[in-house]
Amino acid sequence: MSQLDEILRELRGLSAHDCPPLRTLGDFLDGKTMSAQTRALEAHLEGCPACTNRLLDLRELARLERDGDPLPADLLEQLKGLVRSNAFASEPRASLRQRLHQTWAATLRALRPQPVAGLGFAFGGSAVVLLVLYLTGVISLDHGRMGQPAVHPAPEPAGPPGAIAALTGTEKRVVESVSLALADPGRVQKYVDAQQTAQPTLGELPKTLGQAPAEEATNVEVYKKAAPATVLVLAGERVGSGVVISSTGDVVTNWHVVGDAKHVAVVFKPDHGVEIRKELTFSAILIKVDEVADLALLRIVRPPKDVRYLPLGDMAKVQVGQNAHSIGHPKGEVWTYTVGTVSQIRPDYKWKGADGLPHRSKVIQTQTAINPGNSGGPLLNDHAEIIGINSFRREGEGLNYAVAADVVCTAAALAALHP
Amino acid sequence: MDLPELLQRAARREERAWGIFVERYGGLVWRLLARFINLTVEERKDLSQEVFVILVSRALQEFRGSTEHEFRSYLKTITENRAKRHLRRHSRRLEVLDGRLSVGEEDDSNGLGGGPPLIDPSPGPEQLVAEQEIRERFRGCLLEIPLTDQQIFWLRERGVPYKEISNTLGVPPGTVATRYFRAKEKIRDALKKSGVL
Repeated sequence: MSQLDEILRELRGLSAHDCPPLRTLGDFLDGKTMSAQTRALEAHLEGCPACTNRLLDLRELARLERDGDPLPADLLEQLKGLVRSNAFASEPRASLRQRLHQTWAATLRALRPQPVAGLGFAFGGSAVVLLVLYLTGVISLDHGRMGQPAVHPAPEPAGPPGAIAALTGTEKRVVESVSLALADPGRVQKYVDAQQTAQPTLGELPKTLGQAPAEEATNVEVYKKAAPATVLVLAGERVGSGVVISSTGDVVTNWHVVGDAKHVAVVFKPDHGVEIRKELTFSAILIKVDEVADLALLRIVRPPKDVRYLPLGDMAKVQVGQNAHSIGHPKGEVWTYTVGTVSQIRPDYKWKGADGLPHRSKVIQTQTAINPGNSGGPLLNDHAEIIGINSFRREGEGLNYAVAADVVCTAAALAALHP
Repeated sequence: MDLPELLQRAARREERAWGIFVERYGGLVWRLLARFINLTVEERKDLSQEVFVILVSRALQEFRGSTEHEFRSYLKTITENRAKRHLRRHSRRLEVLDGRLSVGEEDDSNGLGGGPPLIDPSPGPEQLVAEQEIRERFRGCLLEIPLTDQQIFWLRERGVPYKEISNTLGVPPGTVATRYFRAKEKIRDALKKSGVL
């Protein structure tokens, strides 16, 4: 994988011979080049990703200079004041931690010549200052640990309503349980206990009627292999499924599950039962989306050491009529396993998301039951290899669709362009 | 006041010129820093100040270009290097909202930052030959894709939303989706033919 990563990264910087200087590209962008030069540049750009990217950079920078989040007024004044105050001659403005350190240093310096009684007063004064700062929220006790992303709190409600934006009661309980777990580990134990009694365990799930014993054994094996790698995805108010595809903690899910959420949490299944546990909840960042194929790639910030993942299956071997297994969290019923068959493979399928956006991809049509909450979960073959990502369903009996594994593979490989 | 004159006067710390300079480029620096999702607002403010201190201290004098585009690129390098250095020092992951930070920009060659590059691309000779071949094939494939489609593809690869691509390139959003799909298919074919996928 490392070689692939490097190749893909380099592709973006792929340059041709005689790349023009930045200035010429800027002139080209501004329409200042002569027609012959323009044609030559266009021909060059068509075969030179490096220059195409440089050109896009220039265009983006020009746009960024004009539009977007405005500079805070207080900062603007501070920046203007840099030449007035001669602050530029010294070091840049100290960070909060540096400023606090300086406060302490000054206090301690002041203490040295003081008698013992003065020391107690000055020390107490500093402590009061720090206490006030802390209480007013200017500093927090974990300020120095910002670099260690722990489990994120449950994401704040945000984002446009999607196919699964409206939470059912069970889904809300799932979100609440994670919020509780992160906010108050003590209180959550009761909730976890309640979940354990409320949620059926695997052993209690009804078995498919009329199923042959050998097939049943396969199903159980698939579930055992796949469930630990299937995660619950929480993004804003949205709840969906996801599947881990690498030992480094890359998770594939649907784009419509995560939307534009900046903070996403994923929850792993415990070894036994299906309760939501704080220690199995991890924060993840969105590293790649493909709105067209409705895919998103997340990366767990600090994945568990022995993270389980599933391989991507070979689409060439997928046949109509073969078994298709699915694990997901439909309507908050966490780690639900279903099985059906592959109904058809459709190489270029178009559909519209709940938000009206057009999607297009190679998909697997399946009878395997999919409901809101299954979105983003894996569709698997009998070897527990991913053959698709469950994405949408149509009105009618057994009209469910999963984005095909080779599309997922491409998306994941292209994601390596951006480490 | 044209750009070279503005930069010259700002570098001389003339208050009026400096004010114009800050108003013109402060927003750009601020928004470039916003791409680093791990930075707090307070850190963005601190880093903005650091960037402008660097500019007035020496970077304005060291700038060798003359056009707006060149200066924006220069400013981007300084800003991103400063942010990356800050995140490295605070042992934080280098997380960006999009993929605009490429490996080649990590070298910090203008001496305004520090720290080792995050990736050590040191393949052996055989690997270099194999990669060269793949690159050549890939380039051949790209020549078959219209420039606009390529631009859409790369913008999407950088994480730019459809609406912004539509605004930037003046292409309707629906067309952006179709063209992105088409370009991606071709690139996937090229990667397959090259044996990468």
